[in-house]
Amino acid sequence: MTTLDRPPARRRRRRRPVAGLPFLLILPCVAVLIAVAGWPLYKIIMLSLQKQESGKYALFHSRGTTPFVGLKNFGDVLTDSTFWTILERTVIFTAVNVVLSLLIGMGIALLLNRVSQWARIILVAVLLFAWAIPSTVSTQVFYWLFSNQYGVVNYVLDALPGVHMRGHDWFADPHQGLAVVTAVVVWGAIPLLAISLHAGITQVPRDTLEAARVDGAGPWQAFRSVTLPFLRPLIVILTTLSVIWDFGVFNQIWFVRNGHPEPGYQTLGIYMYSQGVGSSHYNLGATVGVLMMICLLFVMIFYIRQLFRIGDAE
Amino acid sequence: MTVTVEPRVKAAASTDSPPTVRRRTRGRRRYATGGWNALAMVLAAVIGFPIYWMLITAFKRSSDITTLTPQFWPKHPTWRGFSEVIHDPIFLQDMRNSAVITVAAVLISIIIGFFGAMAIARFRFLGRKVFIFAVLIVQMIPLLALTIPMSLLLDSVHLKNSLPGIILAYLMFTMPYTVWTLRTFIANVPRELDEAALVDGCSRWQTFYKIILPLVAPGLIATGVYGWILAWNEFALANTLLLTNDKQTLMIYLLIFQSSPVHGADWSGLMAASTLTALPVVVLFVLFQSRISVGLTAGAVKG
Amino acid sequence: MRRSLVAVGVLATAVAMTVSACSSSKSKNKDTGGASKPGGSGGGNSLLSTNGAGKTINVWLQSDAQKGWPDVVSQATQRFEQLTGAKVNVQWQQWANYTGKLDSTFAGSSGIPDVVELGNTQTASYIAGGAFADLSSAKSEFENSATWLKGLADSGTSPDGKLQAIPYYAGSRVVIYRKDLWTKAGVTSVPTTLDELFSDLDKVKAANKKDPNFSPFYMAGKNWYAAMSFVYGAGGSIATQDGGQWKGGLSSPEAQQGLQQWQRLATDYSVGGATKDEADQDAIMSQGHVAAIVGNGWELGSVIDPKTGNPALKSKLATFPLPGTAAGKYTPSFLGGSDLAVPDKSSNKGLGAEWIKIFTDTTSQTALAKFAIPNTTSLLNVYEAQAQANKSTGEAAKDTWFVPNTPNWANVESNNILQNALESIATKKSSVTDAAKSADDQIAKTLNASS
Repeated sequence: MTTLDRPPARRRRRRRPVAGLPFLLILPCVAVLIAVAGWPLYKIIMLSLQKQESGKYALFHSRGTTPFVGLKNFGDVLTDSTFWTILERTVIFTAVNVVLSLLIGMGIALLLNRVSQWARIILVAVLLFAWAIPSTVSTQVFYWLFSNQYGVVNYVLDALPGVHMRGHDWFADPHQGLAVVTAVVVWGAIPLLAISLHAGITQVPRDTLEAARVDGAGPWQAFRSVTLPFLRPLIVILTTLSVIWDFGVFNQIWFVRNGHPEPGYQTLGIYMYSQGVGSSHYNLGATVGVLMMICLLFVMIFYIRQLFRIGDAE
Repeated sequence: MTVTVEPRVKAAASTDSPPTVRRRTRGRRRYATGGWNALAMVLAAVIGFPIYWMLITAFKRSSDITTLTPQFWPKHPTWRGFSEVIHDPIFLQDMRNSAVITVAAVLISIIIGFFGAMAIARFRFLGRKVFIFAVLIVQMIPLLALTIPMSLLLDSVHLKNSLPGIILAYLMFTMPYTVWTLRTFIANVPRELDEAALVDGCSRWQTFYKIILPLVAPGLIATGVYGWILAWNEFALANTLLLTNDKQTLMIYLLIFQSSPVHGADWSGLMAASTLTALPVVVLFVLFQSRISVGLTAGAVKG
Repeated sequence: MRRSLVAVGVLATAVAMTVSACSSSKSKNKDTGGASKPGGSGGGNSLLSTNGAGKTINVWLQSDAQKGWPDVVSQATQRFEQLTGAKVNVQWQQWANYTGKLDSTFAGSSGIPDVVELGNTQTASYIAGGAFADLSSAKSEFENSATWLKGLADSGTSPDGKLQAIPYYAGSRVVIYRKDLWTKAGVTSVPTTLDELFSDLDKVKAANKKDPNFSPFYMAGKNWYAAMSFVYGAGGSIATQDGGQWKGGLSSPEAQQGLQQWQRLATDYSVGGATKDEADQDAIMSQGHVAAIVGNGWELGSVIDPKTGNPALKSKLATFPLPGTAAGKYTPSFLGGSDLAVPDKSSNKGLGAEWIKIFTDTTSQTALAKFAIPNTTSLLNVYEAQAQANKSTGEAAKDTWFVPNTPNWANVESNNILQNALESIATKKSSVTDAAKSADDQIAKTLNASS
């Protein structure tokens, strides 16, 4: 009976639903996107166009005045030289962190590919553990390690012949301090990067590699001409993710300065928080948030184009 | 407790890895391996040191934590931190909350994300690009800017201070990533397989279920684990949206060890609690270790 | 955040003797506000309510009480439940990101607590935001309201004199020092002037000069509570208001003198703290290479607590009020503390106010006086009788200073204006004059901002 019924049923399913099916499939996603992302995003944009009069009053009372001021908030932020200093610092910080994370991640991935099984298991286990630690906690631990009087890093460095690091304050100079932050950020990022890239490398077709070797390519050339192009889509995705994370970095800086980041430690994430939540100037916070997204979009334009190319190719 | 982790990591990892390993070891120049192994161990030591420091701090007496000559091994080991945390009913309650929130957010985002990914990988339809773009954009919204809008949103639908509310909020960052990753994954399942299945008389639903789902399983696991970490370790939204002690998560629990105006910080308690907080994630990793690495990339590489 | 968000507080004190310039204008209004402004939100005599059968109120207290004086909370709650028939749900809060949580809660309409605790320097911006119910008409129903610590009471009073937050507890800062180390260095009596303090510290420094990590007086570079004490002690102030406009006060000659005294402590007698705040000074002191700190009275407990410090120092610590420029005059202390308020959007305002009333009455505050400075001068003797340290803090609480009581003050704190300026002094990156000038500009800009 069922066999008899099936052919028409199948035809019906194949043809009719196809027109509506994709919409049906994305419906839950779209609902979620609109509800928990679209609406808040709309709210942020609205906030960035308004001005709360009289402090928090407007926030707490629906009858408070929140007149639209157009792009005034953006004008205020963009004409403040602080913003540009912070933007520049954030861009450099992001670039350094993304490049370092990817280079080290790739290095470890290649290494994982070369070592004995036991060594790989140990290294992967350590990476997985590191991945699981919340950044608040890892930052606290790094803060101890780099503490001036009581830190392990100074203690160990000082023990080296000819090095005098006792009592060295890593946080007095924001450049050094941000280097410590970079260490925390990179430390937190490499597990995902190394493990992903390693898995990617294991999938590089062996015959292509062999062919390259037969053609006389050294390890570096083989890496460049075979492995790297093969991994390119993955690297693009990982770079994108890293850029998004590092551009908005907050916890690592906030906790390494114990909640009091000096001007030299201000990145856009910190700036947005202290302008918005910290000072209850939610309009300015939202403005900085919107600007952050615009900056990210600029950076991502290359990626978005690639994304659509992939999309078209499918 | 933590002592048992290491062997389990190894055990799980070793049962999972042999096939890949054997394949890869073939034909490698053996003599260099010793050097690479040594380098790997140095790296493991360097990367693992902060974790080691977290663990031994959890076992230290407070006067042994910040000493001029660092104690690389606790001189007066104590279980106080761990036993206080384990016997704290609030910790257990918060662990439960974190688990409920995380599992729900991850499961829901995998299910609906899978459908969404299916749509963009297998169909061309009006608004497809807009949808892809939206998914990407959402990942760029800074979470910290969201606390007030998200709070107002949940407030207006009476979901503030409720687990369903925060689960919904977490979908904002767990779901887009899922869609994004699974898209490439599904795209890699040859269309011919669907066709063949259809010819075989499978319904579309069965095609999903019997052909595509098993093939993208590693992707589901990998994105699930990734989402798990994000949700498990999220702080800002949880702290804003969950108001009462019986609803709060482990990340908020960790705050009670910080210094306050009236108390110094209880560092060994904090590190013990942090270790116990990270433990479920580590266990999860161990369980899915091999799938994670395959899953994180298989789709992306071929896409 | 944490310690600073909080805390800070206010001032004043005790005996209501000295009032700092900025809060004096407010105090004048306060009395009239309490008595003659029946308007307010609740209105009339029905403000407090004991009719709570079947109801539950939510109380947000900082976990300081959970760790420090949970019994005080539970006995008050018990009495409240007996009296009203309502249930009390105490929700322990953390200072981290607390204002973010309050803001988002008060902006909505659900989950509003019926009682909240706030740090004193936080209250002003919430009062200006209309977040709290006006309790003016019920003021006399709160026990000891006539003898409330003036600084605490002022911080809970709006500029137009409405009582919106009730004093909860306070703490004042004193010198916590290592008696054994001082004695060994030949210092046997407590200094009574700053000059004496410095010469004593010279002795302690000389006696320990072999230890490169030794701080005769550890002073974190961001410890603005301490630094501003010297400013006020020398007759200066953080900011002054003139014709409605605020002006930073750190460049005044008096403030400069105070900052220089502080700088001497931070650079000549302190090692390793230049870029830190005061949050971990107890832990650092517990390591044994610090002979003195300036901190809240209860920090002595942190230094010797087995969870946070080193119990071995138990018998070696003592306290004295930070001396001033002349004998018999202290360097005024910054009096930290908390207030309790009833959110305006609470659905059980009367019960919330009733709970506060019970939690701040003589019975509760007498019990609380074992742990912190109670909210009323009438119980200071109970507090001072507890321990030697309390004697000094009680003493120090009699001469205190307060931050400018204006809604925008919280932003001076959250923008770290004072911390940044002080750190640049402590690290010698800029001179006292330059740092003060730049801080003054930012303070004026922040306090005069329109929102």
